[in-house]
Amino acid sequence: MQLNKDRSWLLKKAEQEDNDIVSVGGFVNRVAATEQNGSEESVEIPESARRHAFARFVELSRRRQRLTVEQLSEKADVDVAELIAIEEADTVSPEPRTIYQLATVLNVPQQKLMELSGLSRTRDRRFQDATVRFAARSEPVADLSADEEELFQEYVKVLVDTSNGD
Amino acid sequence: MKCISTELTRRTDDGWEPVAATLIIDVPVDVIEAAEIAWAVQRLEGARRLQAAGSAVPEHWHWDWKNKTHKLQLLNYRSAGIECEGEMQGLMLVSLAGHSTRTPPDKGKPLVYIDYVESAPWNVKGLANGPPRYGAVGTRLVEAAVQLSHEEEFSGRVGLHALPQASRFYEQTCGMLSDGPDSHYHNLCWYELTSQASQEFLGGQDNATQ
Repeated sequence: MQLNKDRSWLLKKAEQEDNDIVSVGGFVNRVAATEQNGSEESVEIPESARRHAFARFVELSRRRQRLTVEQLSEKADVDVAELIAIEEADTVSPEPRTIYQLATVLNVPQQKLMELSGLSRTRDRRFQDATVRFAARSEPVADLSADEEELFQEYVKVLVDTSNGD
Repeated sequence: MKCISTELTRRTDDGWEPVAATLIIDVPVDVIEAAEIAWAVQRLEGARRLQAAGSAVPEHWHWDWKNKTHKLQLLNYRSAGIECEGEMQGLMLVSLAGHSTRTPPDKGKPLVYIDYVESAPWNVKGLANGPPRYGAVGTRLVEAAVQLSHEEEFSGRVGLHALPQASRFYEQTCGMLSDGPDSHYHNLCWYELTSQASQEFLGGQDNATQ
């Protein structure tokens, strides 16, 4: 592939482009749909961030209870393969029953776990912000570090605070 | 995956200066997903600022990752990313089949269709928290689309659907032509780069590298 190496061309193009929006596809199409429909504006959790946050949340919750994947599978009566897929962020739409079982065993509000899993939508901005930050900051490592523990506790607090007490 | 050394620009007090970058063709899915996560926080914060300022904000501030992942597995789709100083600065997904030019003189001839392109939120006015960091991200990605078009023997022809907010870039910076809103595609404007216009966009054929 041949790319232009002329710096004067590049600088001229940068000046013309001037950091304008160049987006095509994805959210841009949805902007158009919103403008045409005149619907209420809101912001959603990016899909990949939500999926990553859900995976890390389940993993950290399990490790915090010092459970292996197999042990959590037995305790929650959830298929091991599905649990692995969830922790690997491979599952786009987990089964509602799985979320209910996990919420019970992990002791978190069912509705919030439904929202985090992508099975239901959320318009709670605090929860959206917390989810994106959790996705961006949590990394899979062997043991929960002090920072991870703090991050986890902080997120659980938001998760509980923003739930309706289900 | 193929990596090509190139340059973007970085803002200085006087304007712009070149900065080393890498154009990646056929970006691995996990790399795209990592970029999406890295962009997510700032994009959300940028959307909040736009809302607070009374500007229009999309209802769904995300792109359909499931759909894009599916498309990346299809043979007629290619991806490209531009990386600079350890971070992904822009991403693009193009389709190499199923689209053709709509305006003379190339009407009916195949082209590379840009299905998705986006610059990192810190490079976009309004979304960036402060002055945008890198420039010419859109330019480099459109350039990559033109080159992919040449590789497919489409003579540099490129097409896309864009919002009015992006029309200035595609018309003035890229030199694309529009035949107006497409009633079959959300009424977004159809833009295309003809073979002749793509040569003018690239600034001639004498400045290529690698």
